[in-house]
Amino acid sequence: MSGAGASAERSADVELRGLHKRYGGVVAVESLDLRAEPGEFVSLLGPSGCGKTTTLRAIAGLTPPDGGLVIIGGRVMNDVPVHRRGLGLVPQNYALFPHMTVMENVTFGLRMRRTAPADVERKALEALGTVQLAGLEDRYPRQLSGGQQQRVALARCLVVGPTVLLLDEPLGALDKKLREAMQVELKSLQRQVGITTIFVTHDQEEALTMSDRIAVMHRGRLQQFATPQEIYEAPRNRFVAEFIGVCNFLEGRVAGRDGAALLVRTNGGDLVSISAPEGRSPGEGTRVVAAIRPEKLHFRSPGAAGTLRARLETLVYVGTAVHFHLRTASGERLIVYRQNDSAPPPALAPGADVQVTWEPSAARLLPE
Amino acid sequence: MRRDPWALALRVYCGLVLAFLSLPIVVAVGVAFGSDRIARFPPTGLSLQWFGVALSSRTFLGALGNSVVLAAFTTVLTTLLALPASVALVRRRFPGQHALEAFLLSPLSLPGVLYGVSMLLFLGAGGFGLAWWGLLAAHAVIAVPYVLRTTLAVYRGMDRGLEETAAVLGANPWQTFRHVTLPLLRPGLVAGGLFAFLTSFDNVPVSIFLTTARTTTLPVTIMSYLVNQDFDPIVGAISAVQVGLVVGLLLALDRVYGVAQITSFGGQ
Repeated sequence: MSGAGASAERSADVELRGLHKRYGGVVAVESLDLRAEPGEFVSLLGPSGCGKTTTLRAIAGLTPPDGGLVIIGGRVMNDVPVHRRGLGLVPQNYALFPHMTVMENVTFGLRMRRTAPADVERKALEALGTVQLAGLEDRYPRQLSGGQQQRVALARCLVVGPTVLLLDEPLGALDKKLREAMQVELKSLQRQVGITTIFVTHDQEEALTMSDRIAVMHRGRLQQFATPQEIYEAPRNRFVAEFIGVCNFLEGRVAGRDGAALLVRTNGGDLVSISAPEGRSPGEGTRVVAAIRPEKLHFRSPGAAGTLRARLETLVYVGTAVHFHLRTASGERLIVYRQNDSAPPPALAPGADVQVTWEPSAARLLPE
Repeated sequence: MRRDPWALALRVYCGLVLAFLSLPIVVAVGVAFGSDRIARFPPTGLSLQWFGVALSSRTFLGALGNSVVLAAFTTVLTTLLALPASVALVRRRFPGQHALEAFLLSPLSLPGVLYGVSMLLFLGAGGFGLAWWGLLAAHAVIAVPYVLRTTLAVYRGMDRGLEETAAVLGANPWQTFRHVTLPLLRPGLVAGGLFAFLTSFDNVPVSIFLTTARTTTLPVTIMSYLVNQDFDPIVGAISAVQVGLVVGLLLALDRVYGVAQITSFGGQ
């Protein structure tokens, strides 16, 4: 689409340098450094109150930061008023103007810019076509479904050719099925338009499926900024590991090395291997914590070497998989996901003693 | 089918309340349609003669005209005062904000007679005399809380994200106000303006101190007529005209905006 293509050329990078914001005595964002490349889809992910929305609002210019720089397309934006930043925003509730039709909503930005009426009409129809809403021009927002409203909000942004698209939990109000459909649609639209996108969400799955990179935030601080794969496979700390997906944590002491792997004696007395991080080799006897994803644990027949002993407490059937809840001898809880590709062996019943193992590379050492 | 006795009781109760509220008006208007020389309800015969008398009375017609003009100006003036005040009170933060809001709403709890006398003394002390603008100012003061209250209620219920999104989309502060804020405040302004008009239109306690023979309003004229004469059907007729005007205004507003939308402050 030509109108959308034009915006791609103008797509800008977004850089935050030492961003700082407090509300009264509460720190909302603390010395945040972040950079989104042109055309990149970056998610700000974290629990409520982590500072992600404040960060987005600082980029938009709606919340002036107490310190730090907001740089868009190489230009410091701190003193540029909201309406001159040339951005697009889809807030959580879409904020469609209730007194305007779909057409009037979509043309709003163009009309405020005093675009020639002929261009206004053409661009708006193009944008509505892009979000597949052609034919609904004369409806009012209240006559639209949640998904349609969301598309109108999106078209309303894209039509002005913003340099950056800001999305504040835009899928939060939709039901699960529609949300998943919109995730795919939104992502492909973003790729097609090629616009730099900052996406605020508390839904880790949403962030994983849509982002080029995810910025995990907690208590106003950036915890990790990396690709979804890196975030999931190599969480930098316990918060990230716990917040993204489900994670098992295993404590123990270093008992030696086995090639690239670190041998660890667990609190329960088992000897297991975990991958040793590059540039870090904790000495023998050091206390360490390892993170292992539940789908990377496998059951082994009793007596095999390098396994962890545990007792099976409960089974949770979730359809595509079965979740086994285990407890180790030293009382640590573990969760094991087993693909539901065959019936689980009868030995895997609550109360059974089991042994689990994993590829050493699947267990990551966390900084303590 | 058995009817719920509570539902029936509620209907009866509501009917009684409505009757209590409207019967005096029915009497006043009913008297106007009587043919008797003295006010009597129910009238012994029907006639429109008293409307003829009332509507050919310069006293009443002049006062009615004064009242309509005064109420119209009061409505415009209070709206012009309440609109910027609402913006400041809802969207800005400044010291003394709550005190200012309480102050602007305080005429609601001020005894009208006291305010009328005070205004009279003020105009006298200032050497202004009983100027028409003094009457208008007094009416604006007592009517402004009505417009302010409804506008504040609508504004506080409005999603701030609408104005913010407009700004992000490129609307400067004035454009945002003009194209987003103002249209969405309209139900509050219309409802408040209606209250302001009616407040001014039937005010006696303030007007009675501030009007002259030239600026006198309809309620004041009716009052003094009643003081000097008995309750005769002319008063009923002019009251009926007044009620008719108000009902007409309500119907017109209903045609344009829908009364339901006004009274619910346009919740979309």
